[in-house]
Amino acid sequence: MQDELKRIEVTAEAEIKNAATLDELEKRRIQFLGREKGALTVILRQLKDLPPEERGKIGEKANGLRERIKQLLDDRAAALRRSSFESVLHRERIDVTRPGHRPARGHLHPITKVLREVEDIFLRMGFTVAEGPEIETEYYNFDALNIPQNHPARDMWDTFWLKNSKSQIPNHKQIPNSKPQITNRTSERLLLRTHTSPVQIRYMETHNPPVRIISPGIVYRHEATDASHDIEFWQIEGLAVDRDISIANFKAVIERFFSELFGKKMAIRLRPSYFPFVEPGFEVDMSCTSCGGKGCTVCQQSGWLEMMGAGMVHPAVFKAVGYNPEEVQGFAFGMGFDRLVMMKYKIPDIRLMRSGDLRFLKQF
Amino acid sequence: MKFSYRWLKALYPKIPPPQKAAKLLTFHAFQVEGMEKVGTDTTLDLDQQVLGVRASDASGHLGIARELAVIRGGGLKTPPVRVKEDPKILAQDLLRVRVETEYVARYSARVLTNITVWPSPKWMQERLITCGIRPINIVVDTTNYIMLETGQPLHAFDYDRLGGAQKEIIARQAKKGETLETLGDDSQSITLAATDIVIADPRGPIGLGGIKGGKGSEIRSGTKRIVIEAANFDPTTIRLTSQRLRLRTDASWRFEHGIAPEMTTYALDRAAELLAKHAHGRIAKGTIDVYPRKEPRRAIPFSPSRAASLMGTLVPEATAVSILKRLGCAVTKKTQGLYPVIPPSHRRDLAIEEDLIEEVARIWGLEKIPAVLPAIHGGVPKKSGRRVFEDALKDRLVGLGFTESHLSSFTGERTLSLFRIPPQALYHLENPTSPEMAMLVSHAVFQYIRSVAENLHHFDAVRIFGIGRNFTKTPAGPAERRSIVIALAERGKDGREEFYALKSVVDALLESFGIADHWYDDGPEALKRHSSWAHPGRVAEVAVDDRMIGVIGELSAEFTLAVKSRGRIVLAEFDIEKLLAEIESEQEFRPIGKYPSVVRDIAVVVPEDIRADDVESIIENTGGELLADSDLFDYFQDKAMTERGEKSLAFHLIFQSPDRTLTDAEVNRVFKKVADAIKAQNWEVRE
Repeated sequence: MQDELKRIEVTAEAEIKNAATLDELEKRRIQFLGREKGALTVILRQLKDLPPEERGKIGEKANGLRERIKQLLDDRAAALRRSSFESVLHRERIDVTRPGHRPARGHLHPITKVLREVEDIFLRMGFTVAEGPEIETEYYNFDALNIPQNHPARDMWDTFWLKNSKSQIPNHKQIPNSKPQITNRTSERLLLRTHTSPVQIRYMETHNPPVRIISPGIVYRHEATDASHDIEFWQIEGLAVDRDISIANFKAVIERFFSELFGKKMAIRLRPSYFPFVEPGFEVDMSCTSCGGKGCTVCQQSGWLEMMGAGMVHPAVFKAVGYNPEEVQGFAFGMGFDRLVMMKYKIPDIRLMRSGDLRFLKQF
Repeated sequence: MKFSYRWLKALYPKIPPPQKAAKLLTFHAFQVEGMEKVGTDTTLDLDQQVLGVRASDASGHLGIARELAVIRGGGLKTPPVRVKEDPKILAQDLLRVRVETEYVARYSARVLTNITVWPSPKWMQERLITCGIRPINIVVDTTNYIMLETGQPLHAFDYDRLGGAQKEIIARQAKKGETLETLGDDSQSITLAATDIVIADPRGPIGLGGIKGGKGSEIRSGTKRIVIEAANFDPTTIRLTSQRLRLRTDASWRFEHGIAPEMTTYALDRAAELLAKHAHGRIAKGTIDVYPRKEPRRAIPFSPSRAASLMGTLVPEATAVSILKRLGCAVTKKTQGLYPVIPPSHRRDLAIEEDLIEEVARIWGLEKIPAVLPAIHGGVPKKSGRRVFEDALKDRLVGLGFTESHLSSFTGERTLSLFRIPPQALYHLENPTSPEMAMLVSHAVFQYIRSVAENLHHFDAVRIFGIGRNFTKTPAGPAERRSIVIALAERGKDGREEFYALKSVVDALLESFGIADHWYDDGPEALKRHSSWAHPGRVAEVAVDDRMIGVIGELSAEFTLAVKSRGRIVLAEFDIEKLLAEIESEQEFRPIGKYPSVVRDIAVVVPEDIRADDVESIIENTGGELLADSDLFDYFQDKAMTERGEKSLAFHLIFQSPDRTLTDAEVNRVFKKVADAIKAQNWEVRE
């Protein structure tokens, strides 16, 4: 009987190992452990006929063998399941290098993209985003900005005038105890704003200091167009007015703005200049974005790029909006925005901005 | 404006080399825009715009030399004036001057006799050429030379060709219709207006004051006796005349910016001296000088603490005062924290304290001002709700596969007639740069239509959007309505699927902002409103309740052809303000249904002209409260159905109750009710 057990063990080991499918394995289970005719079952059934001293010994061995066969069956079953799973997985394999299905992807205009960055930077520094109309009156575009009629400074802005039009835009704030601001009816003539400075005026008319705003928007100039000039373009102006806003503050705010926008420390420098609505007035240069100041073709070897006009708000402007120039002071700046976007993305021609050409727009 | 480096060096011997001098000027005064070698000399080209405000002191070489000396220190070598008058000839015997207009602040003149008109010396010619002025003869060249030296324009008349027995010069307003023949190669006959200032003799005008001389009294080769004029004219008057006649000269530029009347006699003496030396001139004794009202010189208070506050840094008080003094200002003793400062007469641009602070800051050095972030007081920074909304619209449309486009704000006759828009509703430019950019766009949507058509030349499918500004005239003045335009097109398609594609974009967009109860109005009134541009069978207004917020439709066949589009164009436009008004009501949480829903499908065969909406409204109206929702999931029409003029619509009916689990019997009852209502229309129901 011992020999019989040994034989069963050897056969079971071999045949279970050879079972190729789960079905076959089940047959092997029945062959060895089947309740009716299983080889081991038959042996166990015969135990009762053995003498007691042998019965215990053989019984122990037979039970051990049953456990071992169960273990063999389980292991084989697990192995078979794993390999069948693997073969399914294998069959289901796909070529992951094939391109994916792309959902249609749209694109934001480059102006919008950079504008949002700029707005976020200034919002973080406490500036509100203000807006105003593109059709303006002569008063808001010029007079209120200390650019009186017939002043040569008007030549600095080539203006588009609107045909025989007079404004019904009535929203001037009257300053108590002062003369009405408009003495000249022609100040009501309509034009396309040449800068977003009228937004500053309108904002100050309706808000008390302190004021911190930026005013992005489309402006218009009567100019010949070429790769760097268009008759309409975006501008961003800024204004900060409080009791003690200084040139030092202006330097820090603008340095911070350029540094955040270009993602590295940018240097700025001021040069004296003249704009009627500021005193003192300056031009603002930024260290060249491509050479960092060493001099290259982008900056014409100067190491600097001309970025904006700026200055300390002229007392006449404060008077025009009803602020007391003895009590407040502040800085204002203005920059062509398309140029900044062109610089950031290396766009060679300003006219692409409003071309509507998807070959251009889909690049952003 | 061009300046000669050698000339500057003659006036300011300590001047550094040209590059360095240019840099000093750029960082402390006015930008040097360019430098150019002319022979052995170098020109410095200064920014005319910035120079304009300083025309009074810096439109001559003396002024620029003075500026450099202030910046860098060191003395000027100003030409000494040595006028040797001939005591036997008295100017007042030869000439009388009358000023009859308040727009001439000062009129000074000298008379010279015995003049030989010949070429000017070579050094003078060279300097003129360097500065861009063509030499003519000694008299004309001298007047120009002195203008370039001092900034004071001069004019020379041929004395013997002045009219009248007693020679007289009158500065007066022109009479309307008077004419004048101007001098020079570009001589022209101009008709004067009453606002012009003329220099006249008793017979009539001999020069256009402050702008250009007349031909009649021009210096010729035989001229023997001359009158040199150094006058001061009112800036606005000069500007208006110069603009009206489109006549801009070196003189008019200086006068329109305003120069100091104090300069006239110095310039006259310099000119007389040169002409005596180089043209054998004898200088008649005395200067004729009509100077009715001297402008009083006013002191400007300068407060060192205010300067420190505006600059954000402290310039040592002694340094600030020294800078002002070097600039020629009279600075007297400080009282109550203020220095009274009287600027020199040539600095007419210094009028308020901020002007003085600028002088101190720029001479001291703007680069020395530190960068200090300001303290932020008051107010919460924000973007307007509309801006935030537009940003969100853009982001969602980009997510839906559309590309943002910016288009021109201008349009013209050709585009208007293409879309049959009457031009009188538009704002026209007074001075357009081209006919197709002569008006402001009133319907941004047409710009986008054209852009789609253009892009279809390069792409099979186009999906664009943009925020358009629609400029219109209203009784209340100009309106700048903002709208969002969404357009799509695909080459070679019939537009049908494109319409539904755009419609689903519109639905997704509106739903993303919480607008789910909008509907599409294709009623006759709505159709009529868009008949001018849209396909009559493919257009609807989008409304919430009875409020129209936008429109969706396919471009009419006529316009599609007119814009040469290679595909049907479907577009939607929404008014930003109206859209914003709909989403402004706050979104609120609705409880999630606790009991399961049951879905049953129903297919309905209906005649072709019955709209999905018609069937759905019967379903919704008969379903009662247990029918929670219904939606069309299949729209089918095979060939046989097409021939019979039928189509099949299949709907999901979703049954749900907020307070219990529905039984089959309940659902069946409602479903039968719906089916019966449909059958009552004589439509076939397939379950």
